[in-house]
Amino acid sequence: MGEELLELINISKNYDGVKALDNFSLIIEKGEIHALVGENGSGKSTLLKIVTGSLAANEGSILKIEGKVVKNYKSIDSIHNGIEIIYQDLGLFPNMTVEENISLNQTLESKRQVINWKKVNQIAFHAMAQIDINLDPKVMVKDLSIADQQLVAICRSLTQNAKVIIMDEPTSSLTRKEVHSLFSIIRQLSSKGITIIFVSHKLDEVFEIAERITVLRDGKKIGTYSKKETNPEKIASLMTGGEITYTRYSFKNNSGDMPLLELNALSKKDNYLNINLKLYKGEILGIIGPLSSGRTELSLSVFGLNLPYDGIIKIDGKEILINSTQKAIQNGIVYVPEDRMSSGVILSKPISSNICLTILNRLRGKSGFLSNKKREVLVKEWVKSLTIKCTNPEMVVSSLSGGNQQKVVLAKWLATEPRIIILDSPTAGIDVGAKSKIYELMRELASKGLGIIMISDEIPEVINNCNRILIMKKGRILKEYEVNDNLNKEALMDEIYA
Amino acid sequence: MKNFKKLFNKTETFLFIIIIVFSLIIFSLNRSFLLPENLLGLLKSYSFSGIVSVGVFLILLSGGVDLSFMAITTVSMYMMGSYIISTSNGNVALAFLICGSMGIILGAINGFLVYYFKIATLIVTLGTMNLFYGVMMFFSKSRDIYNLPQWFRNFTTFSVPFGKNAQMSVFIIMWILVILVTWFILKYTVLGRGVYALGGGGINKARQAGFNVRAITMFIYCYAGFLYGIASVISAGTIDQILPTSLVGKEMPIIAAVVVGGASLAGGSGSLFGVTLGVILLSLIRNGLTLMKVTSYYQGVVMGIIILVSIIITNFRLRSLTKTISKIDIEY
Repeated sequence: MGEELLELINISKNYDGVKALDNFSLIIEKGEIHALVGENGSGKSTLLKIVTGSLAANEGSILKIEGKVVKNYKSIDSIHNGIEIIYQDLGLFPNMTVEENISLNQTLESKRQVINWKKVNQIAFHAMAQIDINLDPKVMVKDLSIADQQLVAICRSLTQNAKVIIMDEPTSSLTRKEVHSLFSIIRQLSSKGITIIFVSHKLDEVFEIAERITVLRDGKKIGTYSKKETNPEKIASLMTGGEITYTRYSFKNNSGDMPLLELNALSKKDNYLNINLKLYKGEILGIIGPLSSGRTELSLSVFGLNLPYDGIIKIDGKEILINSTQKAIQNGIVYVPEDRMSSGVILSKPISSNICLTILNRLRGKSGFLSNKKREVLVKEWVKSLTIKCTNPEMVVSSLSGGNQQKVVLAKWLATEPRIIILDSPTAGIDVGAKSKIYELMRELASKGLGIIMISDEIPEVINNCNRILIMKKGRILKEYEVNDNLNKEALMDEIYA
Repeated sequence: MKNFKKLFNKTETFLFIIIIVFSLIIFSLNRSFLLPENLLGLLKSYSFSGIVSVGVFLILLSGGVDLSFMAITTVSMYMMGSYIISTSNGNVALAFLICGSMGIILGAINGFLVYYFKIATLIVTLGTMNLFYGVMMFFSKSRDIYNLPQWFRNFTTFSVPFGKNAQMSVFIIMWILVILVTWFILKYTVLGRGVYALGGGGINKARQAGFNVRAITMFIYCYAGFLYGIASVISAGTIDQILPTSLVGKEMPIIAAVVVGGASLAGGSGSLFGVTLGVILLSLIRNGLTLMKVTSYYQGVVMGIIILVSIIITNFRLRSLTKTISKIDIEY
C-alpha cells in the first residue's frame, strides 16, 4: 500500500460551456478499494469516461498512470495500461458461452482470424482460477444469473492483466447474498494488488467494502475520506449538499378497525404460503426479505397477474376476486414494479405518453377520440406535482435520470387515483437526493389516506419510512415488527439474513 | 439424464423427430419413399432452398432480415444466362464466376446501405428487392432464356453413383459444401463470431468488444449474396431455362423454413443444422401433401398452419424456460 497507481491532476471537462468536471484531482493507490459516490449529474460518469479514455479531458488536465504522464489517451491505451471498466450492462454477449465471453478480448487482440477453441477454454479456465470460481465454461451467458454474469465480466477483465477494475453500480441487481460473494471476490482481487474503484449509490455497501471514499458533487471533488473517519449520514449529506434529516414516519390510525386491504390465508403453490396481512388507511407497510422470498410473486397476485390458488383478498372488508390488472385498478390497487426499465416505463416514448397510458379512457373528448387538450392539462399537472425534471413533457423517458424515470412511473399509476399502492423496490438504482423525494411523496400520499406497501432490500429505508415491517422469507411471512425507538436494527438484520 | 433433457430442449431434436414421423407417414402411403434413389432425388430438389436459406439465416443471425435474396438470385441467374448463351466458349467456372460475383456485388449494395445509412435491414432489402427486380425487368424486357448450352446441362445433370442404383446430384454436393464452409466460418473465424456478437449484443457492444463491425456487416451481406448467386445455377439447371419471373414472390417459404429451423427474428440464435432441418421439413411436408393428393389450395392452408404451430411450440418451450414468476422454495 501507499504506492500510487493512478493520479488525476486538475481534470476538467466542459460540455457546451457547462462544466461537467471542475479541477478534479485524486490519487488512487495500488490495491486499494476506493469508492466513488455522487448523485446523478455529479460528474461521476464523465470522470469514468476520461479515466477509461473514451472521452478526452480539457487542456491542462493531467493523468498519471504508475507515475508516468499519459498523453493523447484513448480507450485502447487505457486497456494497455491495465485499466478495465465493468459497466452496469456488463457488455457481455448473451448468446455466447462463458468461455468465449471471458476470452473474447484476448481472441480479438491476438489478430488471428481463426479461433483456437482449446486456447479459449484455457484462457477462461485460467481467469476463473484466479478468483476461485467454477462456472461451466460451455454454458450460455444468457442462462446465468446476473451475479454469475458479473463474475464472467470480472474474469474477462482479468484476462487483460487488469491493474484497476472499475465497477459501475455492480450490486444494483444482486441479492444480498450475491453482494456478499461479490465483495469477497473484490477483497481477494485487492489482496492480489488489483485496485478496485467501486461506484455505487448504496452507501451501506460502500461502507462495507471501501477503504476510502471520494465524494463528487456538481463536477467538483468534495473530499476523500477514509472509512474510519466518517459515516454514511455524513457522506449522504456531502453528496446532496445539505443535511437530509431522516425523521421517522409516524402513523395515526383515523379509520378505525376496518383494514383497507386484507389478505386471508393466501397461498399459491411454489410461490407463497398462508399469507395473512392487513393494511390500514394511511399506513406505509414495509415488506422486507431476500430476493427469492416470494414477495414479488405475492404483489403480482394482489395486482391480478398471478392468481392465487387459495385464500381471500378483501378490500374494505369486502371479498373480491382479482384476476386481471383491470380488476385490480378498478379496485384501486396499483403495483409499481421493481424492474423499472423493462416493466415500469416505455423508455423510448415521451413522458406524456407514459403518464397517460393508464387512463386513456378518461382522456376522451366529446367526439370519443383522445382529446389533446385534456391530455396536456393532465400531463402538466403531474409533471408539476411530482417535480419531474424535464424541459418539456415530450422528452423521451430514456433521457431522464433514474429518479425522474421512477417519478414518471409513479405519475402513471397515481393518475388512476388508486387507494392502495404496492411499491416494489421503488428506490433501486436512484440516487440519495431523488430517494428522499420518493420518500416524501410516499408520506404525502399516505397522509391523504392511501395505503402503501413498500417492498425493499434496504433495511434503513424501511425503518425510516414504514410504520410496520413484515419479514418475508421462503414464501412465508415470518415476523411482524412495529417500528418504534425500541426496534433493534441488528436483530432485524439477523432475522432476515440468518 | 441431464444431457438427455438438454437434447430434448433443442429445436433440432424436435424438428428431427417431426421429420421422422412425417417420413413414416409418407412411407405408409408410398412404399418406395424410403428408397435411397427417392430420398436423394428429394434432397436434390431441396438443394436450392437449402443453399439460399443458409444466406438468409446468416443475415437473420446478425440481427437483420433479408427480403432481397430471390431478386439477387434472379439477377445473378439472368446475367449468367445471358452471357453463356451469347458465347461459344463458356464453361462452368465462368458461369459460377459470373453469378457468384453478381451476388457479391448486389449483396455489397445491401451491406453498404445497412452499414452506412443505418437503415433497418427490412426496409433496405425491401427497397433493393424492388430495385434489383425492376432494373432487370427493364433490361431483359422480361424475355425468357432458353437453349442453355450443352456444357451447362452436362454440369447440372451431373451426379455421382451412390450405392446400388442411386445417384447423388452435384446440387446436393454443392449444398453440403456450402453448409460445411459456412459452419467453419461461423464456428472458427473471428468474422463468424462477429456475426453472433452483432446479433446477440448489437452494434455498439460488438464494437466496444473490439469487433470490426463494418467488415463483419459487409462480409455478411456479400457472403449471403454469393450464396444466392451460386444457388441460381441450381434454379436454372432444374427447369433448364431462365425465367426472370420464376422466383418472384417465393421469399416467404424460405424465411418460414429458417424461422421454423430455430433462427430467431431478433437475431443471435439458431443453428445451421436446425435451419437445414427446417428446409427439409417444410419441403417434405409439401411433397407429402402432393402425394396425399391434397390440392394446391389446401396445401397453402396446411403449410400455414404447420408453420404457425411449429413456431408456437418452439416459443412455448422457450418461454417455459424463461418465466417471469419464479419458483420459490417454500419452507413448510
